[in-house]
Amino acid sequence: MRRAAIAALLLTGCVADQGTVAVEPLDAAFYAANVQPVVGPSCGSLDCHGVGLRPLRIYAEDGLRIDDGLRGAPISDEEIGWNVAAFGGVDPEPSSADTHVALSKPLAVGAGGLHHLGDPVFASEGDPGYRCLRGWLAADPSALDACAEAEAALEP
Amino acid sequence: MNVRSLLWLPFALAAVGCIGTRPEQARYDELRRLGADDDGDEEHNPGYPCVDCHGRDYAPGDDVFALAGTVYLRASDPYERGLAGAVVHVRDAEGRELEVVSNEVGNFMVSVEGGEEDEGEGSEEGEIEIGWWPTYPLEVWVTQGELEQRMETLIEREESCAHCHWRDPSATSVGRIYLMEDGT
Repeated sequence: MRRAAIAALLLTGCVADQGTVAVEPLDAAFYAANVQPVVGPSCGSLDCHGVGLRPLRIYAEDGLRIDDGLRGAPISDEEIGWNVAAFGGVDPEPSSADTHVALSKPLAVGAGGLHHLGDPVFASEGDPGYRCLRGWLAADPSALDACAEAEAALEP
Repeated sequence: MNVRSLLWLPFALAAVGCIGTRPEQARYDELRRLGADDDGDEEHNPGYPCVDCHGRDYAPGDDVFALAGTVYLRASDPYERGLAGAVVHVRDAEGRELEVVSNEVGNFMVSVEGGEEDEGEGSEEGEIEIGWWPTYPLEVWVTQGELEQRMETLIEREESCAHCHWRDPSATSVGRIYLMEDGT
């Protein structure tokens, strides 16, 4: 009887979320190569997330560095590691990549996002930066194209 | 006085503002400790984060600035000796532009007055008044004659340039705003 009840709940979608994408273990190498070039310049400036005490503290080449001597140097592996940890820490138990707070905070409220002190970064879920970040969180290889598109859009 | 009455003392002190210091006040105290003065002229405290004392929410310096900072000729110039006559160009997110010319010590200040939009004319004192609050992010570049330096990133929200351009480069600063690389 009990087994039948659990099976029935699963079948009717009452236990497992439907249509959401699980957050996979965060891939530091993918982040370093594809996400940091987008997140660093657009989120990690010294007057935004490049501040030690801010939630989701981000190290970036032109932003906060982990050591004085790194100013002017490329982003280090240690900084990448801490950035990845920060993304994990800002939403320790995400139920889905789509609802990860690192995605919902920078998304415009009108598009389903949350209030963000630094104003909306992504106007919609179609923004290349949004798709890049979401793809990394969901371990979706198609994020590569979105990351390249987002990085190109940052070029002066 | 019994023990119970003493329990109310912290609440009473908090109520009259005797406990704690506002972060802005703490920052002001720190700047004074570092040598900032409050004599009020336009050439004081070059290189300091101006809006810490001239902000919308906290302004012991009276004047309120929308954007302010100090320009140097070279990245290693003494922080108290900025560059006079540099033109700071700002374009906000709505495409509005302003120009302000740095004063004798390199300081420049942008303040906002009500009324019609002012396209912006630099002044010898390094000040300009405009009729609108800039919408962030801001694009900034500095010129003097044929020299030009463009800021590589946008200003996302900070009104004090020295917040990110505090003296020598470090983990938390990209160094001074300058027009020429050292050694050129």
